Amino acid sequence: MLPCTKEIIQRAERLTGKPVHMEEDRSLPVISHIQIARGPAPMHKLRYRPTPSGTPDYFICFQCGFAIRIYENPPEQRFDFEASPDAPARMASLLKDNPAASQLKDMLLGGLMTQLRSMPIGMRIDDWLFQEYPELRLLQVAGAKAQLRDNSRALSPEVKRQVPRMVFRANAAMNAAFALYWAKSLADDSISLPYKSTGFLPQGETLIRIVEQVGSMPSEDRNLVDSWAAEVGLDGWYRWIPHRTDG
Amino acid sequence: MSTDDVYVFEIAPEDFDAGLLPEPARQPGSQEFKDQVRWFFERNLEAFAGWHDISVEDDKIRVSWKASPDKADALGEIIKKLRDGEYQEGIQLLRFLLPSREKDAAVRYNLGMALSDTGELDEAEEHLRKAIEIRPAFTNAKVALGVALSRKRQWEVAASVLEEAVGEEPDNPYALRNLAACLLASGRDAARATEYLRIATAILPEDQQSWMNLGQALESQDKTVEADAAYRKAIEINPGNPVAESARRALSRIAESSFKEAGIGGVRPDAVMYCLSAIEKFSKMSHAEIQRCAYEIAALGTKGISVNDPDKRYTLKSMEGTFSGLQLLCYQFVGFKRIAPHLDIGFDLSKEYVAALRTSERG
Repeated sequence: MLPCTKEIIQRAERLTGKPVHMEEDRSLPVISHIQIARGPAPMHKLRYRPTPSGTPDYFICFQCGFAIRIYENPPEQRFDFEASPDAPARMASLLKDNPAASQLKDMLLGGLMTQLRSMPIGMRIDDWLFQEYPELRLLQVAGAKAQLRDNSRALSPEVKRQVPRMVFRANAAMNAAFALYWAKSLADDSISLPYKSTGFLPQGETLIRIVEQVGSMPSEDRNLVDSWAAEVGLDGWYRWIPHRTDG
Repeated sequence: MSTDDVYVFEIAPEDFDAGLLPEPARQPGSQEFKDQVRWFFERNLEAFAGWHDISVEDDKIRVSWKASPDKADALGEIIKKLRDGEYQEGIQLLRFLLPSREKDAAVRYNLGMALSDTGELDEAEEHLRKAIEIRPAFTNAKVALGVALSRKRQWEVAASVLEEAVGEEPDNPYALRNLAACLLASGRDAARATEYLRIATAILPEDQQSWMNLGQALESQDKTVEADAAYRKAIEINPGNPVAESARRALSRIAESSFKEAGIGGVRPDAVMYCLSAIEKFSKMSHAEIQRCAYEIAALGTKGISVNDPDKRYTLKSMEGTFSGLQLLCYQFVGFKRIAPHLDIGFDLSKEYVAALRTSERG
């Protein structure tokens, strides 16, 4: 583990007062994920898929970044993000003619909500890691490329056939923004080509403009996610609830 | 092939943004559509992909490509632009990167160097100082700062920064070369400058500027034989650039100075004799023949003619015989007096020429 990874884990643990438990998980539907300890939960659960390089440092640092950003706010301004109570019904309604609806509903809702929370705030975290931890940069770029490859699979005709149009479009617009972010950072326009060819680039550019316009402090993260949700038609699908650490 | 750099995506033909295609080619499934989609991806990948594969079928478009190794990182791409002399674009991209990488010493360093090379010295100094603040052991940033300060003619401060760089990396040839140049420009310690430049040329034997600076350091200490050799090496490395031109002027200066020292009353009898011989030979030649001869000697001179070596070791295509270096210079001087009297050949033989003319006129 790189010294900066240890430093970031320690920072997250010190700030939140709870340990970060890490484990490799081959079955994870996303590349990495953190479940920030709420209520009586004794630890944060950080999971990641095995990486080709065998060094998950970037994903660990990236996920710790979410815990750090929440806890950089004063307690009364710490909020957790979750699907709104009627979100499952909304998704079920979109899937009503789909024979695989029961298998797809939770997976699509979970994926869409994770994406809506993680992608815009993740850009703040990537900026921070890029500036403060140059030693992580190679892994960061490799991690971003892995994510980009994963994202572009969602454009395939097979996926499109299974997914409601509204979900497909919201997902593609957010992925276009992510691709634009990295195309700019790596000076490589080919990264955004899948979204250019499918017409999602203009909406991706709008989302990037939101990232640029909204303040970069952690206290602005809710505003950032809300603005993205409004742009991709996901307002009303989620809610913010006060983050609690007591039982 | 590393899978890390391979991108693949598939889309349905109807998901391709038809607005990107010419109107007659917007019908998915048509041959025009397939051709134009393929051309769209070819065009967009050309600049970025090292390898790519595009397949456009009736039910699926599949595009895969491998990022070119040269495109792996924004900074690498920008540095390449700067190396290719694309300063304005490189500087613009670095300034673009800066807000998101304010604490990146490499971005500051490259931006500072590029600005220094384009003469924006105050801003260059600011970025280079910041790079050193971010990474205190960044020796090359100190060298670049020393160069920027030298360009601002702040010799003392520049020397102090470069001394620090040499202290950190005693074998860094760029630190040594620039510190030596600074010492020479400020008129300080030419002997120490020579010592540094000897190390620099040993480490980088093909670095033209180090040889040029070594020549200057030696010349300033009147070590003309060694200076002559250093200037010749500088010319040999790249005969066609301004550094070589400066080296040639320095060689002429040394040769002329040695030449005059060997004369009586400021006139060299052997040169008078060679000038007289040239006057006689050219009186029987046409203007074109004289021109050919004078230019041939001038071309030979770009490689350096050894004026103080009495051996006759030069030959010409335009004139029969073997010649010494001084003899050729006399022929060149007299030749240009005939074809272009106001041209300065960089070696003053006017006194010898006048003496030869008088002798010739007395017949």
